[in-house]
Amino acid sequence: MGKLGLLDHADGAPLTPDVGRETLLQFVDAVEEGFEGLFATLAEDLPPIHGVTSELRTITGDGGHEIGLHVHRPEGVEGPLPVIYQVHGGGMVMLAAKGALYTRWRDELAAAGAVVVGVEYRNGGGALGPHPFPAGLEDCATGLRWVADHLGELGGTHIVVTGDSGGGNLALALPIKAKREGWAEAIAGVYAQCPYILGDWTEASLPSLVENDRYWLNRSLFPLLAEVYDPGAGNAAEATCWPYHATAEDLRGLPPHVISCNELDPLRDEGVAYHRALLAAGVPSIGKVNLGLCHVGELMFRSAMPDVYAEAVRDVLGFARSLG
Amino acid sequence: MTTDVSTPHIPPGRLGDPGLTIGTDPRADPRMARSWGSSGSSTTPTAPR
Repeated sequence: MGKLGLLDHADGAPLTPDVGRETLLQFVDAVEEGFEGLFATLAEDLPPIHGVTSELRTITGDGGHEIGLHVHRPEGVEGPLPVIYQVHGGGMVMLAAKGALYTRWRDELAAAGAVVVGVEYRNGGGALGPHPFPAGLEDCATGLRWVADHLGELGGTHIVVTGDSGGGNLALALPIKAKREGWAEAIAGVYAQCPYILGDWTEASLPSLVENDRYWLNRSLFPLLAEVYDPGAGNAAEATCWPYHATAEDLRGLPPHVISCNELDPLRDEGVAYHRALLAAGVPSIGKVNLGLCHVGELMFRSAMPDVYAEAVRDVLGFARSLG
Repeated sequence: MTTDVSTPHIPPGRLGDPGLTIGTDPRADPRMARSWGSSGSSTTPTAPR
């Protein structure tokens, strides 16, 4: 077994979703600590990024709570620029925009020529929880609408939403929510990486859930995180909770999407299915499968695979520019 | 070059060989696989210790 403990099969989750909420929340705390430790290790010794400034803006959510917006912008670049609204991963129940992996990702996107805004939304569990669905999505929407209302002040032209894994879920849910509420014009496009959207992983209903199970991510983890996000599966069929279940009516008229999946990801096939659903509903969508990569591998291994990381930056930014 | 397929199809990943891991699946980018084994962390994110 490698030093990360992940060259062999990843450990099975030691719990079942019915163990009780407190136990599940404690489990998420431990998983979050593990993920942040992993990401901090992978971010060690990366070369510094020059020419990018960042600031934390704080806005107020509907419940009176604070929502942090991490704004990154390139220095000395003539604007206005596309705005990339970045939603971090973590199964909607853990991790943070301020973490090492996502701070680096925003810096890299900004250095390439975008204003990047990372939203610190309430999580279903972990250090920024516990706030089940729809709290996090509501925060993401509040932050996005603030960015849209302050586009000129930010030096932006238009907004592309991007997110990975659980952030991919939220990135896909946002335009569905926006369409229902009548503000979809705020979103010019959506770029989702390895989205975590199925909502029910008790059965291996898609081939990649078996094909790539325990390739870092263990399928048995997903139902536990899902129970923390959506207790009692009360929103199992709700498209803004689990976008895999979006109907053609939910999707019709949405802005262009990119659905980027990874070959060795257990979640690959739910992303592929979503891409096909978008196309069936008449939404322009580019579907990608990145060969040889595990879940979110293009963001994790900046040192080992700088060309892969750079391609991810180019692709997100190129998509954003194409919509200007 | 022939277009004849003479070798049997083996489903990819653990569908075809349940014993495969991210370190042994031939589809994995070898740089990624090496990284899993050399980052110096003992962190395993899927289960608490």
